[in-house]
Amino acid sequence: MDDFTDEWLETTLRAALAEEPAPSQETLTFAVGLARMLPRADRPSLLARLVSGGQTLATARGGEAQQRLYETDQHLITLWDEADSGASRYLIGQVYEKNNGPLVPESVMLFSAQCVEKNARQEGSEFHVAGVAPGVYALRCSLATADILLPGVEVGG
Amino acid sequence: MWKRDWKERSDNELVAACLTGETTAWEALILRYQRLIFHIPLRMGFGQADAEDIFQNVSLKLCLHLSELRDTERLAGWIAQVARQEGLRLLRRKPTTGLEDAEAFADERLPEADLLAAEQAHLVRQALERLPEKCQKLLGLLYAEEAAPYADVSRQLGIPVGSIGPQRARCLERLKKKWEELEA
Repeated sequence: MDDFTDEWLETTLRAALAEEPAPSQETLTFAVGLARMLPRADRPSLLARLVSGGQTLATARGGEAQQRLYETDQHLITLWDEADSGASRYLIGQVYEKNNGPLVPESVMLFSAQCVEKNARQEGSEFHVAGVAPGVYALRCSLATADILLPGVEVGG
Repeated sequence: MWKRDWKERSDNELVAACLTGETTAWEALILRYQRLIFHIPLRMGFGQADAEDIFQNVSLKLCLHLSELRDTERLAGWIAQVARQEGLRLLRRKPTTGLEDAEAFADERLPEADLLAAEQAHLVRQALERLPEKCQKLLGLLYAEEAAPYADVSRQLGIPVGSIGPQRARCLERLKKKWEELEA
């Protein structure tokens, strides 16, 4: 920094020590608890990117839905997002290995800062999550050899 | 516990440890950055509840993007920008604020210079944590919002009034060195 002076240091030190409101213990506990989402040392954690989707589509039952496609270097992930009961949403997803077809994840978890995490139910090679409140979520698919993270899934968006 | 184990570690070391699933490193990272993360939405004019939502979202993004931050030189800058973006997103979602241009509102409340000042204050706090306890206490008393008079400092720290000035100068010099190490 070019404008570093003793006076700057003292002013910045005062700002650094100024009393400010702090996040609640509950919020800190949530943030610290995200440690359970850290990558595991014994397997890679792959960040998927959104390739296409988000347009509203009509469903056969007369509702509306969105379909999104995500990918990593080796995988494709489809996510179907449709209306469930009330304002909540119903998600159906599938993971494909680009060279070998559908994969069955060991587990799929949906989580966000504002709600309790939800585990998906497996139906064949599809995973289903019911009763999801609209919002922005992250989704983790745990496969046999890697975890895939979808960081910004806009449910009902 | 984390202070003893992780205080001296750089951000890159903490991130690398997190990427091996080291949960205490993650806790240290959150505690190291909690004040900076929370400061940004407060400066943007959000109340406690909204600031807490933003704090949680920033923590989540940090967790999800750790692997991209493995060799980042300025984690503080990344975190401050993400906190600002999360604030902007919340502003755009609030029709009751009647804001036509959330970006302009955010710029007015938290100009780029103030964002940088928040990052610098974070670095100075980190540098202060790396000083000997005696220096931390002395500077903490002398540079608090209501700075303690020398007589009180003398009584609290058990040092003669006449040596407070020279000790302050030495502690500031050490702080400057630590700050320069972090900034480099």
